Amino acid sequence: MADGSLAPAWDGVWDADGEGAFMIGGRCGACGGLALGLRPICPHCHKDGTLAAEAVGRRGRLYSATVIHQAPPGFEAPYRVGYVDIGEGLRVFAHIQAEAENGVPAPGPGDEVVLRIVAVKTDPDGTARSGPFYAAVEGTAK
Amino acid sequence: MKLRRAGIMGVGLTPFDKYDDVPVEVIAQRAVIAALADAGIALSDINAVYASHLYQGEVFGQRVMRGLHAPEVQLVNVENACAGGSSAVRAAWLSVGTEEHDLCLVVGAEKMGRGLIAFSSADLELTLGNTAPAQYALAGQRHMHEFGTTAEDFARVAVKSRHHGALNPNSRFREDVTLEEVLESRPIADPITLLQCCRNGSGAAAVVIGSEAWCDKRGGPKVWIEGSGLRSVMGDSTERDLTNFGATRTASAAAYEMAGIGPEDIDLVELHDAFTVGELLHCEGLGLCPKGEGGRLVRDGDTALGGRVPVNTSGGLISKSHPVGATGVAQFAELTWQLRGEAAGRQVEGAKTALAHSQGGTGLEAGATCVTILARG
Ligand SMILES: [Zn+2]
Repeated sequence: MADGSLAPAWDGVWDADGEGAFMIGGRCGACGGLALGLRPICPHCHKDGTLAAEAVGRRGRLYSATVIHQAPPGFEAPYRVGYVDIGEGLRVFAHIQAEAENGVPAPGPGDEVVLRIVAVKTDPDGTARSGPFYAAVEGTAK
Repeated sequence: MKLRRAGIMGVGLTPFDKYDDVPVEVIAQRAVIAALADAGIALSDINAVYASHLYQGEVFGQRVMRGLHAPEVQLVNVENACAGGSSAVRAAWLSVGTEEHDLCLVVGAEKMGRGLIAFSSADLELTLGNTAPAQYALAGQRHMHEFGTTAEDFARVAVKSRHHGALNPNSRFREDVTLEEVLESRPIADPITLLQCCRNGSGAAAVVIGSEAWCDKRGGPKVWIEGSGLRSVMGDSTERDLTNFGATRTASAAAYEMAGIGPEDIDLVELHDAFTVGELLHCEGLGLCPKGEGGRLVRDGDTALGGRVPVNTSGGLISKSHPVGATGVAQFAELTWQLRGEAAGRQVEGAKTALAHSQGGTGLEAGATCVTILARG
């Protein structure tokens, strides 16, 4: 489940609260547009300093996924990654449930998924780092 | 803007291999010398140089050309990831077409290590464990989901291309492989297996592009560049259709319009097959078949030698390996030999019109695609 004790692999793109894990969206106070992650410049209206954090992507729909067998440094193969569509036109790259868990099969393209934050990689000094992980939602697999 | 006619006068290739003990400048110089000889010109005739590379450091082109005592001319180093070589050819062609220069040299070269390509720019997806083959695999998985394409369909691309490579003396890997061997090779990112991945390589290619007057002076069969499109995907965590891989559709539409032809007029293609999934999806993007039918295209042998539109008669990146900056330039060497009727052992009989396609980037969301159309004069 959401593990707030781990350092994130990338700052400012995911977090967790009492309701669980979420992706950090940037909502523009000027144009109302939404971007993934807080950032200085709104990609929609190009205003500077107008984005405020908003929780998004607690759930989404899996677009595509693959199992990686040849891993880059810091990752342990095999692991599954993919793209999850989280609404308002946003798509998130994340780790994806690879095997059945408690009788819930791994999600396929089009299936509804729910976000957790888990350890995804290990630094050379042994520090574990967290990243987004989407798992199947029970009873929604098609 | 109306461009004057410009053609490929000469091509040279330092066949891709390891070259552990050869400096990259020398690898590049050998290709330049071969291209100048093929064009029948002296280096002192050249008005401008375009040099393509990704990892070779500052003023790479100048470091190559000073060792040949080049004249004091314009030299531009071009970086567009794996599409850098074709972007450099395009720039040289436009320079002649717009009458800025009469005679331009393009050289693309790279010396590379082993394993997964290490991207140097900070990227969220790569930080989270995405890899180059996985990017193609994700597009391939979506294609399988939407169109019923199978792992065998992708694997057949490697069988076809390795057979072409076996016929090409310039290819690095010259053994045929079977469908079973491809499917049973080590898994890399499902559905992509080891034999469906290009290997890193070192090597160089060079092209001389001249005005019509220069091409007349050379004599022999003419190869004209008829049109070119260069487009970039600049996605930003948005919902794009990844089965339209890269910017192949928009780049090829621009090239076709400029050349005044369509995909049905193309006799052969050199295409960026860094991974088999890419070839199948790019064939659809180029309009060689309707969307979703790439699997059928390769199953029916349409893209094999002797088929309707042979793809990667050189063997492609899969057979030649992939020295990034050289790859796109080398495609023009193969297509020039084909259009001149000089592609011994793998000649597409009667080839009149050819298409070069290259594609590169980091992640699925930032990258360049270049499509160029050539025709026999
Ligand atoms: Zn805005």
